[in-house]
Amino acid sequence: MLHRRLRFVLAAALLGAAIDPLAAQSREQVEAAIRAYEALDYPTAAELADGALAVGGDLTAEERAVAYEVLGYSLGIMNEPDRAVQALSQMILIDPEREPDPQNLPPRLVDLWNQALGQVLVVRGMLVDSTSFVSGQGRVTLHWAVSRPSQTEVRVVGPGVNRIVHERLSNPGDIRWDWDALIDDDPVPAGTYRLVVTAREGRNEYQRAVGFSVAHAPVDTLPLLTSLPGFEKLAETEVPPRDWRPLGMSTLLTGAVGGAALALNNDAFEGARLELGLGALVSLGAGLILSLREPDPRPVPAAIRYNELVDRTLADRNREIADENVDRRRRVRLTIVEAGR
Amino acid sequence: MSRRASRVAGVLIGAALVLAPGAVRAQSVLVGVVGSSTTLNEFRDDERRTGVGVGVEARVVGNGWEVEAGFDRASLSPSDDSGESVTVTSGFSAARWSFWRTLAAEVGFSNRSADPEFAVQDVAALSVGVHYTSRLGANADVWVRGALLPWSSFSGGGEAGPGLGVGLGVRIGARGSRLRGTARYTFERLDRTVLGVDVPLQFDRLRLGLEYAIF
Repeated sequence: MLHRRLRFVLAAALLGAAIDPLAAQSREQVEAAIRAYEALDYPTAAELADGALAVGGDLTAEERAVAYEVLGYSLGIMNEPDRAVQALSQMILIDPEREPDPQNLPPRLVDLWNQALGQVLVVRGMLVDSTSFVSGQGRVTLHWAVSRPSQTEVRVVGPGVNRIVHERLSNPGDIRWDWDALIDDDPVPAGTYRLVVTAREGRNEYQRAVGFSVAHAPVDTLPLLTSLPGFEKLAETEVPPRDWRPLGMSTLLTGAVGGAALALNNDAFEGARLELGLGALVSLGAGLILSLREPDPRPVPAAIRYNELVDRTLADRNREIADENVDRRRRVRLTIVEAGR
Repeated sequence: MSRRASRVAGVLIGAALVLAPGAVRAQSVLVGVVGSSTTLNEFRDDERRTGVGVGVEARVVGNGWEVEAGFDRASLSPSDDSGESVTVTSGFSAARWSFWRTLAAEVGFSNRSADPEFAVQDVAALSVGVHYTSRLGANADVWVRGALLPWSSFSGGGEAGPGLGVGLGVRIGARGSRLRGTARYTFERLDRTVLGVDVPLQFDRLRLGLEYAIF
């Protein structure tokens, strides 16, 4: 129940260590301790686990963590809190991610685990949020937790890069920090990296790392605008209402010239004035035609000014887009994916 | 060279002098062909001759100025059978300068010569007047002119005080078209006297034609 998932680990380790009798003995003791713990025989479980840890310098870290866990919880149930906290502290140092299951453990044991966590300096819960963004315009979120107040240093190690990117004083608990993935204002090169978090408290130091990969891709450029959404251009001309001015002007001027020609006529002559009549007819006809013809479109100053404003705004926006595209062509799209510890 | 030929040559030279320099700096150069109807009155009403003819015109328009010249040749017949038919060759040239909006001052020269010679008077006249243009619409305008004829010359001699002339014209074309229809009515009156005897002249002409803007 407690370590069902570790039975497989232990079985595999036992097979692998069959050639080492001492190691095999220690692992058998760990297995026996688990069985005793599950059989509620806590003194035996504690004794077997303690014995395995005393013998086994060749136990794997996972096996040692299991042994300390069995020892710690057994001692806690046996009402030996100091030794229990000590054992659980060792377990946390070996495997900080190992946490008690509050559903299956009495609260007292969970409290002991919390006490043990508060006594050792570890970095836990490291996580890199997978994301994709344009360099300089986004950030990747990093998560970790420290168990004690400490000075924390975040280092990125990868192809041609070994740089501290963040330092801070941290209180116990979860920490979240957004990194712009820039080194000296340039995006980190593509490749596989390790994010190393080091916590220091006095002379104590604890370091953990998580891997992540960085891929580069070109950034999409923006298309230029052909119109401003919501700001359609207006008609710059309009057809005015029918205008009788052409007929009026031609009538007036024809009358004036006709009158003058008749008035200036020499008394010695008389007779038909064919040319004057035809000329007047043509002039009046032209005025009539122009008055009946659909009037010429006339400009609408307000619409022209509005369209000029729209054109200027469109040109400004396209200039901004062009500048942004120049900048985008210099940038890359970073895709960051956590690659495991 | 005959007197008539020298007058025609004079008009040609005058037209060239007026048109050529302007064309260099012109905003628009227009040429046209016309058909004309002419009524020529001399001395008495029964000396009236009428007829039709054809001619050409050219116009150069600049910024605030305009020069033009034209010629036509018309066959005129007497109103009754008593007279003799004549062929009249006419030329005119004029220069205008707009001094206020479309109101322009105008100086012109006109000449008429007849064949056979002395069948009717050959006349040369200088004119000074004003010219007003009113825009009726896109590619259409109407104009009027009034002129004083301070100097005139006649092949048959005699003299005249300042004559008077008026004119009316229309140009109309489709929007944006280089081709326009034109109509030009001209009236001139000269009170000529020969040896104290009144022998007046009066001239009515209507030119109808087409005008094309080269540029």
